[in-house]
Amino acid sequence: MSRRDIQDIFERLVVPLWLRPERALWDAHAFAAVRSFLRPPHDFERPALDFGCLDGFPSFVMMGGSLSIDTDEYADLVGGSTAASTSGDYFAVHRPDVASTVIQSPAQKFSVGVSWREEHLKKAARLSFYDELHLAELADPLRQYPKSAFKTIWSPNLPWCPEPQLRAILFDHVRLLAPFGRILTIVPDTRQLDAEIFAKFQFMPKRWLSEMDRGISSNLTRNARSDLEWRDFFSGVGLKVLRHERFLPQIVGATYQIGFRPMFPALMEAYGQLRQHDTSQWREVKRHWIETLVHFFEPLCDPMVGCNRDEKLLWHAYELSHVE
Amino acid sequence: MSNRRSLIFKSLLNALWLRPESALWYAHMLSAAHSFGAGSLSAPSLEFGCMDGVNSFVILGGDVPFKFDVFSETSWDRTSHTRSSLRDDYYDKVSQETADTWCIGPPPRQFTYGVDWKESHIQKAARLQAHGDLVLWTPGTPLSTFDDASISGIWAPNIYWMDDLGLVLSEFKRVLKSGGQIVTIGPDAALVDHMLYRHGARFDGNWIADLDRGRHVNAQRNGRTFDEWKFLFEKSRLGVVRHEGFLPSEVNDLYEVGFRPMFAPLLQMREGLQVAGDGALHSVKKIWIERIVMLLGPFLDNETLYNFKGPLLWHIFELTHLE
Repeated sequence: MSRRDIQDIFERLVVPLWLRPERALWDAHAFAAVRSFLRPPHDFERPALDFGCLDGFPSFVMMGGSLSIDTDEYADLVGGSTAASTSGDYFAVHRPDVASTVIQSPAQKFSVGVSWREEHLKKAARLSFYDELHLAELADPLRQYPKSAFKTIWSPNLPWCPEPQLRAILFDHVRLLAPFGRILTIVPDTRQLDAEIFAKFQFMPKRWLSEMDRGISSNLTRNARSDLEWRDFFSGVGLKVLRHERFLPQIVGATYQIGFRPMFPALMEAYGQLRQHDTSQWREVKRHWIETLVHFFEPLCDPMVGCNRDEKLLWHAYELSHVE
Repeated sequence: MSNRRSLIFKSLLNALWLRPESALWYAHMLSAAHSFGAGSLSAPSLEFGCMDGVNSFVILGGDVPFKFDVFSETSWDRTSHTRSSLRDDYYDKVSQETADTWCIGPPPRQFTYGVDWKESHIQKAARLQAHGDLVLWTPGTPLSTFDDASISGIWAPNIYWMDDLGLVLSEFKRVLKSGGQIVTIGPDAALVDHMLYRHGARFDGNWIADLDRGRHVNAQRNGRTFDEWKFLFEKSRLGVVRHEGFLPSEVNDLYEVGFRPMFAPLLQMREGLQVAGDGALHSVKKIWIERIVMLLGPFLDNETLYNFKGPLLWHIFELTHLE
């Protein structure tokens, strides 16, 4: 994975995520690591499952797609209450009159996308990037699919699951995976525990810590394990590691933990007001915003920024297959 | 000081909402200056480096209204973020069209004189009526407008911008009446070690320089330990009556980045909102300020600041004639 790979993904991902560039940066590092598993001769094989596809933008961009300046994750919130942008669960809002404009579709598409909210699926459907989309609780087995149904499973949401659920999901992945198929996933290393920036600010007022963190620290660290521990864990559910990449320099992790998140309700209000009042003005603001972000985030696209050894990177990407 | 610092911050935030890191820095600086009496100097008083007058207005007890800000007269373009120098100032523009929006003065008290070296600053400061008279001065020259021993009090928040500090201090000494008081600030020698600029060599191209925008120059040029400052003042026959440190390095860390990198797009956003109408602009500004107060509020509060372990990076001095 090179700086150019990460930068390329960041520049395409920041178009839909322009108000939350820290997410685009984090995902760009993760996706570049995963993309390194999808190069010839180990290309993307269908049927392929995107397990936890959300609104489809992340996987769409990871697979090489690009979106027009008119398209972003926030258009569904324009004209609505600020509650969604304040709570942070803006993925849960869907407006039927919003469209996504694709500049380039990925050469390879997922056969199936699953997510846990109807709104995610309606938004993902706009991209024509999935043959099928299904509503499913991620903790429940995907009973509608038979054994060995998928040759590729992209499973980016394992880190957020508590352990019993994590194990259950992986057992179901094992069932769904075709012989010689591959599971691609990302998970935290124990270094993420030491990198928690808010752990250094425990003297700050509780409300401040809660507003700043919004539960992200516990999400990031819930399943922190060393490479050896992860290999042991995967082995316990019948999976072996084919390839492994470390990713995420500490400075990128810290950038993600604050980023523009605290200002999102205000930025969303600005975007909403501009978009409602003048359709050309908001596009120019967005273009200028993105040009500036790309300039200042460019050094942060270095896969080793601030690190001298890859053991210092905070996350793992794995390519897994059945234990023979 | 904690409560005053918060009050100053909230007032400044109305004016500087898109650059809250500046409001935070100035709130620390002005509350320290207030406790040294800079806002209630005996007349005739002089503010040296009054800039656009907003800080003067606030330290003199003025309350900046919600509808006022300093961004209606700014210059930017799509490459502004890559021009990294102290000279390239977003705020140099002065427009008669927006002059009325600056009619928020006068504050409860006034400085007798204000001095600055930028015409744009003088024009803007005049609108706020925080100074009885304003003087455009050329750096490197004497303060020839002022007679010997004519000033009772000097508030000088910007001496660290000067190449020739010795000349400025000699001029302060000359114009200050016997028993008069000078309040001034200066960076500690350690400030450069807490600036992003120190990481410049680790990154390609001008990235750090574009974040820094030339600010390190002042810290390199005029960063001094207390003893070095004291020595400099004494060379001009000025003695330190009182000294404190201010600005914990943790607060400086916030100021080092802040919203500076995104300033030009934010200005464009603000212009778009202004076109959309006052309702749109003020709706955004209200939420923006609420978020900033949540985010930065603890960085003004003594209870939190006591837990910061970093050094204080700035000095504030009260000076008078050496006997």
